[in-house]
Amino acid sequence: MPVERGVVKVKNEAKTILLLKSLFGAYYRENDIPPPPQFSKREFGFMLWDKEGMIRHKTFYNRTEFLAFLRKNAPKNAYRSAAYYLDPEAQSMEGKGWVGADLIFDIDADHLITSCKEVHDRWICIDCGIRGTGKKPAQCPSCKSTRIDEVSWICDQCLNSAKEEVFKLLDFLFDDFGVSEKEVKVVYSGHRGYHVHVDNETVRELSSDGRREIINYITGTGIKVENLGLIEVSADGRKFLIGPDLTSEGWGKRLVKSIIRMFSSSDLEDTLRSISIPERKIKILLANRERLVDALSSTPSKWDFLHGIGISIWEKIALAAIKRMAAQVDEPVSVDVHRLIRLEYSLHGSTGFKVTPISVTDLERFDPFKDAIVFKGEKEVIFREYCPEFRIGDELFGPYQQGEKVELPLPAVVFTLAKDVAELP
Amino acid sequence: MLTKEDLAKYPSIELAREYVKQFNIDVATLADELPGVVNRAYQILKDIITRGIYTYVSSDVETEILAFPVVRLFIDVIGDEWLRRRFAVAFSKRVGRFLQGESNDKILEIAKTPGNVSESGWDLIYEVKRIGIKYYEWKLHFKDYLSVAVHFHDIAWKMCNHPVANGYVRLTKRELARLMAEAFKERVLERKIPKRFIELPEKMMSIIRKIEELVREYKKEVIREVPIRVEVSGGIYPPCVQFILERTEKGENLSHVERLFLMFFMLNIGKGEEEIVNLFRKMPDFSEERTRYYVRHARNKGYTAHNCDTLKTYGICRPAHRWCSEGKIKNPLIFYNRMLYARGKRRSESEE
Repeated sequence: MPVERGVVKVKNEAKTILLLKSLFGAYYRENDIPPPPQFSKREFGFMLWDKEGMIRHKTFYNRTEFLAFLRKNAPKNAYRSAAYYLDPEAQSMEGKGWVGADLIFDIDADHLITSCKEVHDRWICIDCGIRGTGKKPAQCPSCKSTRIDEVSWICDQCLNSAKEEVFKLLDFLFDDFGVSEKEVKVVYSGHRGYHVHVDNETVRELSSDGRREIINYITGTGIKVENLGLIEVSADGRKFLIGPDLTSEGWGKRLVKSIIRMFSSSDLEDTLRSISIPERKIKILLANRERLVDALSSTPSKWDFLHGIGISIWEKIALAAIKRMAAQVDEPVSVDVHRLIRLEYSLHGSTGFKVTPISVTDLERFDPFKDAIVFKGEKEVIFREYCPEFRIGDELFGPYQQGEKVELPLPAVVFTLAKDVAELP
Repeated sequence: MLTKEDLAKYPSIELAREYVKQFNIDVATLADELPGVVNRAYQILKDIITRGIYTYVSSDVETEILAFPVVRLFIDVIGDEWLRRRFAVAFSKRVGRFLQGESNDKILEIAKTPGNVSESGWDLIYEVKRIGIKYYEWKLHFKDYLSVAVHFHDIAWKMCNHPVANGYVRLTKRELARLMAEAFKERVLERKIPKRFIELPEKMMSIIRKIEELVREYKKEVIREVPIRVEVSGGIYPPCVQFILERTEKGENLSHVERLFLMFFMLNIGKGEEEIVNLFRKMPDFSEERTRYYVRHARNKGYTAHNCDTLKTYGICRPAHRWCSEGKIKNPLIFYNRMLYARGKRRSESEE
């Protein structure tokens, strides 16, 4: 019995792979995928449907060669380097001759705390088979095994959170780093997040350490509020507070903006409680919230007009305000100057969605469940696992129970097959 | 407009190099033709080795300018890394002091001219702005700021702790002088050392031998490395080790010297191979094979952790503890040892 079931499973998997490969192949044949800028100096990497591991150290010298490779192999996943090399095909990093690299930021919904994960993410213990929802536990609550598989899902909420972080990041790039809109490219990764590419002469030769420092800047890592100008000073025998205002620059200005926003928001009371401000002080702050917004909005700002709210309370508020203003970007991706990133316009092997470049002006309107969809038609699938609700275009699908047989539009078929929750009958 | 005096104060800049070129100096005849220059170069190195100071003789600026390339030639021929760094640090300190008293025009000319502080020169603007109680006079493009500031480990140098807008980082005059001095140091250290030298005349070689002897003596007497073995214990590391461990924990890329120092220190306090290898696992370029090789090699050779003096030249010293800032510690292992002793004493007192 298990042998027979095993054979069926293998046959179904082979059928699924065959279908996905042929659909991906059709996409690459029907579309003229533009290669990335200066592609002959880049390293390319591919994962194929029928081979383990990644093919690396590839390069293309012309557009025809590039397209021919994609059309012939219909790769499951396609990548290209952020870096430019003298010899991208060399097998070792030393041999490649690093010339420079675009500055890349990765924003991954997986790293953001969103309530939807508790609803749509699932896990299964490989050893005892017990299942659960939400983030996978460190060990199985039943058999204590640490061998746990995770099925992470995507929805509007988590991808919108990721988009919010992109906007925060862009704000840093434009205002603080002086990067222009035309030097920035936002790319939907085809799955859980966005990549932001900065391509200009200035950033190209930045070292890993320099890139890490930029990430630390954007994430607010290492800020000391006294360095932003928020300090207690003594004069004429009395202590008083001074701090940055809206004419300050960099994090000083951001701090003021973020505190003003915090004091104008409806969740102020909860926020103050969450950062362990004593109840007595919370009362003072809440009673004076409007006066406080006015005082911080003025130039120069007034920080010490509230009796009983001293530097230690302000430091706590400032740290929370910094956390709100910081963009959550994934450090290793930016710091690694040899990193391969997803090839623009390729298809993501875990969703069938297009890795989609988006202009900054279109970002607000961009809908990954609509604008990154490429397939047309319908097909029947059987669900191997429970499948949470998902959206393709304007239509909602699921949830589907294990064993359910459903006819779905092709993009939904590819998504569920690629996410490995369904198979072909 | 820079003067001849300025070239003497900043002899590594492009204009000074061009000035020296006019003399068509031949090293074969240098000691005979310009004995004063050779003697001055010897004196500069002697002061650097014994006192850590790059001295300045304002009465003979031409000799000052010409002696600089001779000092570098001597350092290159000797090929001692410690001397090279000690020279770079002393030179950078002197540059920093001069720059703090320099006019804005001269600072701009030095910083912006290609080849002085960087290959293409810095994108620097003079613009006064008062933010809070700080008075900023300069704006430096963030790429130039980062090229140098990443070498500083003090949190105040993190870019997020400076005003940044439209691609520029605001700096006070003092901060700019410090950054430029560091850039001078990096430029000096960046220089490729020729693999072969033309044969130097005996007069020059005898001076080189004298300098080598000075280096040997200084290393023997002052940078004496005493092997200290202590029991394994946590939470009592000197600030320099603590700082590296924190960065290791964060997976930050340590420099080669920082890695070696951490490895030697851990071996000296009795940590095992496995524990040490594990410390490096978060390194972005971690290779188990290479790390194990280094640990075994260091253990077999019995290397001792660097002295504080040496750590200072590598920018690794972080005198955050009173013992360090008071100059009572000559080697981080002594700090560790004293901390162990102090803890043991406290414990026995509380038991009584």
